[in-house]
Amino acid sequence: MPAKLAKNKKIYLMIASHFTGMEKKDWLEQMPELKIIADLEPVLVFNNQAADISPTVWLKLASEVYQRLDSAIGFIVLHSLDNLLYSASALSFLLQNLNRPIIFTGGLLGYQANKNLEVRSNLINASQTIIYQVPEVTLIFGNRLIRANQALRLPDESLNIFEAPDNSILGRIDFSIRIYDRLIFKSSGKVKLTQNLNSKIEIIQLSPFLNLKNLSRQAAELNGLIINAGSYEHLPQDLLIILEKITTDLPVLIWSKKITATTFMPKNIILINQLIWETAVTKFFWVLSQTDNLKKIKELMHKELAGEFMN
Amino acid sequence: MRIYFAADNQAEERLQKRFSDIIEVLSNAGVLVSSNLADKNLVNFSSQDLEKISQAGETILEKMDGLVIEETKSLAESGYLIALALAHKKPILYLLEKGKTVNKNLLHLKNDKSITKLLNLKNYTEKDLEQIILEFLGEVEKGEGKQLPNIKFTLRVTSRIERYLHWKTHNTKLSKADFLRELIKKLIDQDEDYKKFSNQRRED
Repeated sequence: MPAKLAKNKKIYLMIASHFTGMEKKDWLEQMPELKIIADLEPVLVFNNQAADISPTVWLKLASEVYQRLDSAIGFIVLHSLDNLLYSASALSFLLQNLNRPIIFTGGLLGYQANKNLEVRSNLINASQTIIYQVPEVTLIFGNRLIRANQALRLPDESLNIFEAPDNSILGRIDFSIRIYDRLIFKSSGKVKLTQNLNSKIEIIQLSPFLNLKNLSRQAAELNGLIINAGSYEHLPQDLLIILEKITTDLPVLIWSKKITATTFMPKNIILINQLIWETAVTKFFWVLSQTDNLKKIKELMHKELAGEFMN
Repeated sequence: MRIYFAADNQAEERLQKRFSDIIEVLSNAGVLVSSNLADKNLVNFSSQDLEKISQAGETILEKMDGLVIEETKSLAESGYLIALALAHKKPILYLLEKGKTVNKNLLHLKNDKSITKLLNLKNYTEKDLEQIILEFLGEVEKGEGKQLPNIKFTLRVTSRIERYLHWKTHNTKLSKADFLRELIKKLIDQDEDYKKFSNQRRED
């Protein structure tokens, strides 16, 4: 760690959702051991349940972090599990060329027996990991440091609530913390903050109940359309006709695990199958706030901006 | 009993010898020692145990009974280890050579009553080092600050014993395991031979 950083151990604890136990004023004082590791300063960003988080909260969170970049060695975002992957992925696009670590963590805060350890351990692990200066948006739940925009939620049976491909597990924690430097996403230039997100985007799920008439009516009002094709191997023919003839200029992102680029696609379609769902969505929102040029939109969607592509 | 011992593996030779002495005292007292110092991992976890711990998202520290740190030479991760041990309510023995000053953050922690019970800050000389360690082990053994039994033990019983345990604990708040633990604790407290053995080990 650079000498300048070593002296300043301030870590901002960005509170991005409400936890049981937080209503007590001294909730952070209940964890005095955190002070041995770092000077932790809480910043309240959003005080409702995480299920209520919207893109407005992401913009606020990004802005609050950006304002504090020079005075901190890193940021811990306390966020409960609902919407967590959306928030973390969004932040990886809203704040690019990061020069400080941003670690999302959480768990059950508060005073329920046997439960308060989770957040306590996660906060301790996150605080210590900040010192290693991995300049990415990551998650710590349990004993792994995971790149947030490639994380997948697991059943809640263990402390390791999230999984990721091997090359997105950036560190492991035990008595010591091992960081895999070679896996860290390299970016250069000044930190870039995005302060708006295009909101005229509709998300639909492919299913036999999809109302194509409604969709073609809505299309005129939209700047973008996201279709979650999940495990479908083909797109419905009627949908393809609409996409080709009615929504010719509308950027349409199709997120699919199975459909390949060899399948016939109208020119306004952007097929994505190397991103997790949450990352595909938040990246598209970000891209459409940068440009409305279809060619540039396609370019940006296929360009790696924050280590988001799964190999 | 399992203890994790941490010290700076880059420390001068004089201190390295001291670390070996500490491990020897712990081992001679029947403790299974794990350490960040190479080739000192004597804790009998199988590779399957370690994999299970890792998969569950836990750290090995959670499976230890206590933490011993020698920090005459500053150890980068001592704060982290102490914080983690305190979070898991594990007793800590923090050792410094006599004359060295304790980190002010640690002194500050001593103002917290719940932490005082767990965090033992000790300046030692070569003469009293062993005594300090053995006293600490005595406290760990008594279960000071310890909340949960964390050593897993598989016990096969006959159906007769099972029936008895069921009868004994049925409609009580005790589980069968709680009942057996309480029974063993009583046996330990009443066992004069074991008391003699423990006291003698401390005096040796």
